[in-house]
Amino acid sequence: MAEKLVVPAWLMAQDTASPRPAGHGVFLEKTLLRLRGLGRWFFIDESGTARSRGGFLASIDAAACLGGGLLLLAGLSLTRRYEGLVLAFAFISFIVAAGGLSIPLLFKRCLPLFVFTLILTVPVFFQFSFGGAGSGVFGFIHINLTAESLGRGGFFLSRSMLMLTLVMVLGLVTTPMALLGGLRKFPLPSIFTTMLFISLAGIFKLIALLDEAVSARKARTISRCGIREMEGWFAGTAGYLFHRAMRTSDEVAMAMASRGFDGTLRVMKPRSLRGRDFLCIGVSAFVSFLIIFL
Amino acid sequence: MSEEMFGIKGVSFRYGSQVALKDVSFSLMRGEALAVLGASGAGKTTLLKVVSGLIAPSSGSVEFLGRPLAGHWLKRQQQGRFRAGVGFVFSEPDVQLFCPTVYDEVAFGPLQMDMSGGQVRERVEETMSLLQIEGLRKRVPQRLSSGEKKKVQLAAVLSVNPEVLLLDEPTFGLDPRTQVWLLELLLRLKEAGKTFLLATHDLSLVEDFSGRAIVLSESHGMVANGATAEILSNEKLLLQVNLIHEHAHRHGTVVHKHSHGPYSSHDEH
Repeated sequence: MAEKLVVPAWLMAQDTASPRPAGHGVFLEKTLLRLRGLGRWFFIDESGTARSRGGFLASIDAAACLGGGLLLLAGLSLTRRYEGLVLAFAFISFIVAAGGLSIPLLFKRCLPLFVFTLILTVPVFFQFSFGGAGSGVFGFIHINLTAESLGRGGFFLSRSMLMLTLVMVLGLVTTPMALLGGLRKFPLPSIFTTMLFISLAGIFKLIALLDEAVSARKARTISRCGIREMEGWFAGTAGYLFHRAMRTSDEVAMAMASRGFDGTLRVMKPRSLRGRDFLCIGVSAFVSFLIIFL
Repeated sequence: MSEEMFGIKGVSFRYGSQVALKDVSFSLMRGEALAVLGASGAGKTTLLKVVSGLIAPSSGSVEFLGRPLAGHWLKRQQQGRFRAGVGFVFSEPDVQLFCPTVYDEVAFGPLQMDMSGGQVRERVEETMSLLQIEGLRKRVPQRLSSGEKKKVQLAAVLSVNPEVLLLDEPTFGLDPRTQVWLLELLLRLKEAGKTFLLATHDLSLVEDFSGRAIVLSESHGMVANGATAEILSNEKLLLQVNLIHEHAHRHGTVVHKHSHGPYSSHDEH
């Protein structure tokens, strides 16, 4: 059967209007990109961690790493002396050296945290006030830079940075996923750890969807969006994400029910900790004790 | 005569005011591989969810081994037995894979069936070996490729050793080699006496695998129930339910139009 297709004339001709550039990445896109990177880091395989390189540190169970890390964090949060911080610094340096961890990578991860913490600490260093005698006056703001404020700010900054570095080191010794798995060996309800994983997986999936939505909008944007268009797009995307979140949680619940979940979650008894794992926890507890009472 | 596993009688289902299934009735016999054919949105997935007791029909009834599925029978007394006997492989792997590692995923079902630790470990190892996914045991399921996810999804269901397998679009998103592997696996399981209810619009899979098929129309009713070969040779029916399409192509300056799909004939040229 012969058929004649009718194509509109405008489709056969070249449009003369030249599109304007859509502009560089905006705050939303950059934030999403970072969040997606965080998601990839969370679910990524063990390449790049001490665990992937083998050795003593890699052979320690993730639960022992988590337990030891929590003990050190507790010690750091309770110490009141610089000697404790110095000891913690020395111990963290030992872990970094023993695990063969990449110092530039650790530095790269810690630097933004340092800048953020420093900004938070500025009021502690300078003790801003709106009157009285001080070290200097900027406009109507008085600053009071004293030995006490420097000591207090320095201690707070050092303590916070050591705690954050320790968390980063834990993330480089083993993967966040393994650490999450390690939670199972703690006396926590198994439904809690499973639901924690499902929630995190769902959040990162939604971030990936949002990222795709941003890319799709950008692909169809000829010129910069006005605030009205942005509002409309944002409302539509938020509604879509809400619907997807509801649908996914409904289907996950069905998938669990179809495989026998009846409200009581049964899980495998986790492998018990070995001697080296207890050694790791013991050493961490001892160092933590010294950090507090040195 | 073989035993009736499922009896679906006058089942209708609505999502609010939207009709998803309209008066569907059929039987699924033990050891049979029944295909549910229909275009996208015809109600295949909803039908599988109704049959698996995950959602209750708006009207009509579903019977499993002669007993009604809805109500207290499933909820209280026989829930474990039903869930162990009927495995459901969802079309979208991401919703079915919810554990931190592949090993946990495969172990989830047997654990919920109250098997002992040793039995679970043995079951998981053998299932992973069958599906050749031993190397993935420590991987995060969400990070796997589509083919790997499908294998893990199947392993997670097969580890419970269900008598009936409900498969929703099993070949969706798979590359040709994985599709062939899947067909071989399904044929082996069929030889072993498993019963299948397969929702798909992949007609080549149906021809090779199913002896009988039912067809859902785009108006959500059942328009055919019969031998697969008979249904696949009914070009008019397949065109009507949008399983094959009219295809236009050019010979020189003349455009031809004829049905297109694995079972279309080109004698109109």
